[in-house]
Amino acid sequence: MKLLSRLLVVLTAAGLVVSATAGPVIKKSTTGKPKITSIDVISFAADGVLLIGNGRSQQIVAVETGDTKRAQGEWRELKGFAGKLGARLGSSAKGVEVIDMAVNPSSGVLYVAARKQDDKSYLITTVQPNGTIGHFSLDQVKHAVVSLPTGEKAPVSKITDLAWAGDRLVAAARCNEAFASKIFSTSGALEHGKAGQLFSAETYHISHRRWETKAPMSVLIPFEEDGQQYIVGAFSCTPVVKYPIDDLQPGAKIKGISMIELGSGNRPLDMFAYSKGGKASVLANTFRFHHSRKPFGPSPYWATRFDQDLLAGDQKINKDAVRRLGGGYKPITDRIEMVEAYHGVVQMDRLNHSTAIALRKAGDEFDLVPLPLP
Amino acid sequence: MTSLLAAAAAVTIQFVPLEKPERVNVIASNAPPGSVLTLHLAGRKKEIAPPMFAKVVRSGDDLVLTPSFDLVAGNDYDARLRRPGASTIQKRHHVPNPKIRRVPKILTIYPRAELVPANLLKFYLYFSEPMREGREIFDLIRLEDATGKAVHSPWRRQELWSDDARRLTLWIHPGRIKRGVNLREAFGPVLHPNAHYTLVIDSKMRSAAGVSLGSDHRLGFRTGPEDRERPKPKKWSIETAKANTRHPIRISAPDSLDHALLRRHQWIETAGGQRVAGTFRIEKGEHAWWFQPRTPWKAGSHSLHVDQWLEDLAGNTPTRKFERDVNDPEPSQDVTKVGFVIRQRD
Repeated sequence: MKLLSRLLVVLTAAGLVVSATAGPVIKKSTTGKPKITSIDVISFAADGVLLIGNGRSQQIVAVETGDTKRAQGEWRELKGFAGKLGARLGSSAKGVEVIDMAVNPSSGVLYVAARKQDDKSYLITTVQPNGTIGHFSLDQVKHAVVSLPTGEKAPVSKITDLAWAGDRLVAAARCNEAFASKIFSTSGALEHGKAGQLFSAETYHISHRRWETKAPMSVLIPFEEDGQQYIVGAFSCTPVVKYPIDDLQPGAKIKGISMIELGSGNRPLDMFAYSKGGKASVLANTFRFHHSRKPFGPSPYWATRFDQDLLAGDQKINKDAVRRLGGGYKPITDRIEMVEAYHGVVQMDRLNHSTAIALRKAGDEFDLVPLPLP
Repeated sequence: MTSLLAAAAAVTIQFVPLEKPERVNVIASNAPPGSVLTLHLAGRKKEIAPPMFAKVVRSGDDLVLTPSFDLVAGNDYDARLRRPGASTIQKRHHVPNPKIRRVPKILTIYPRAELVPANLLKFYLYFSEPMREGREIFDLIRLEDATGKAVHSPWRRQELWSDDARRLTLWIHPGRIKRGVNLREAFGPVLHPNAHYTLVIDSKMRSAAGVSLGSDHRLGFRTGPEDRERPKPKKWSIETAKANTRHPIRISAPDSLDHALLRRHQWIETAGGQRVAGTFRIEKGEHAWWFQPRTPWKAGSHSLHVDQWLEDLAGNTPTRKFERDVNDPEPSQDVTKVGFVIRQRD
């Protein structure tokens, strides 16, 4: 889901890279207060550029935060985060909902998108390593608004995820009424007022053994393999699918290749790539909606790490894709593993090569915690 | 002499209401230099809540605090002025609840058909008030079978509200609908054919203003067989109207269709390809609807156009089944046309 820009992870055997850096993110901007009617998701591009998905207005807003200086200090646990955030809005823990969060890779500061429930106002806050919560005001910011194409027969109502793919913006979106999956892309740096392009997507569902034509993508990350750029998306139930970015052409219907099956009954929430100890991995957390009947742990929120090279190649794909579980819900590979330390994590993003920042459910509250990457 | 007078002036805190009770300015009059004015949610706990996000500017001898976000009705707030070398001054303010707290109601639930396919894909819930969004809504809406037992985890837990938060699109989890999907195989379909169910919206569901429904809202319905066929507009019947009238035409289909998509994904054209302006009105059950032109009909051939986004209650479209087998031919993107004739009056 979240992208640490300027990251270049080289996988020795498969020759994979994730998200190489290219030029500037914003080519043409304006200064003022962007009209944002909702926030579905946030992410970061290079140079402290915050990307805000606003499906209600069918737009993505890129904001130059100017936050490019490294934050000082070690991250520490912040218990009762929702209550603390609510208090700063004059409300309670239940009076605010954390919608998404993303670490600014340029500074190490956490950005949190939230909604004040009583009046439905949306806001962006910042959290410093020492736990200080600040308001990131959008009143007077340098920004670029990229509109999703208008006139669509099945208009987008929600942006489910977005990322900067080194040289372009990619996003997944869905419609309110029609069961349609949309992938959105720009070509090159962002220009204020310029529309992007919207494509329909198809994916192969491993268990289904049919072309599943309209499943909406929940989360995505950019991915590069042997010079070819891909979007890797995760869907409910939970196939991980890659799409060649070059296939994103006007009027095209994009067919994905299923690479991994994480197990049924789950909805992906966040996903990011990282490298630790020379091993490249992807960490994904999910919500298990059948937790009460078939729990995977103490919480319906659980996470899994998988080897990044499982995303490579075109051999073990679709119905032959690698599955996490076999009969009786038993794990059948150690290349896809549950991460027990991440039980209860509802939001997360990568902080650096060794740590993630996670929002973990704690009773009726949520704690903000630094967690070591597995 | 002037400065002595200023120093002697009383330091006070005042809440100044603006255009609505939730919007205030806090003014600390005669605040000495170096004073810090903050606003806090007042709670039952003894410790002071963190300061609210706000802008504070000095205006002459006064400090003026403007909260970055509206206060919340029903809450108490403490303004605190910390003064260098002097005690902190505090003043409490109560934000009243609105005199009229409108109780939200459910106006309509679609589909309105009493008999739906067992692979029904979604409900639309229409509320009288903007509702409180949040993931917990999925725990406040349940399906009960004929014995009153709740169906296990039926929803796709992704919030899809209209812009004004008065309409919720509630999806039954597609993984429980699609054949061969391990989710359906493990837990079975949400709805079984030829059975009775009740959709229950819990009384605890709240409006954005925090007012709950007050009582459970229940909608009973029956299921028929699963519908895995495309709707076929060519098989729809059209009762036409006479020329030079604005009488509506009536279109009826064998199966119920998605009411929201029905309004958007069909239109009428003349033989010359001009769109006929007018309005659609959908009958209860969503298998028949009327079109009334804005201006009188002209005699001649017309056509009803239906595009590939119109869905029936099971998500099948005129060009594509909800589940398309890999061996099926690629779906057509063509718009389906159904011709009809407007005749002169007798």
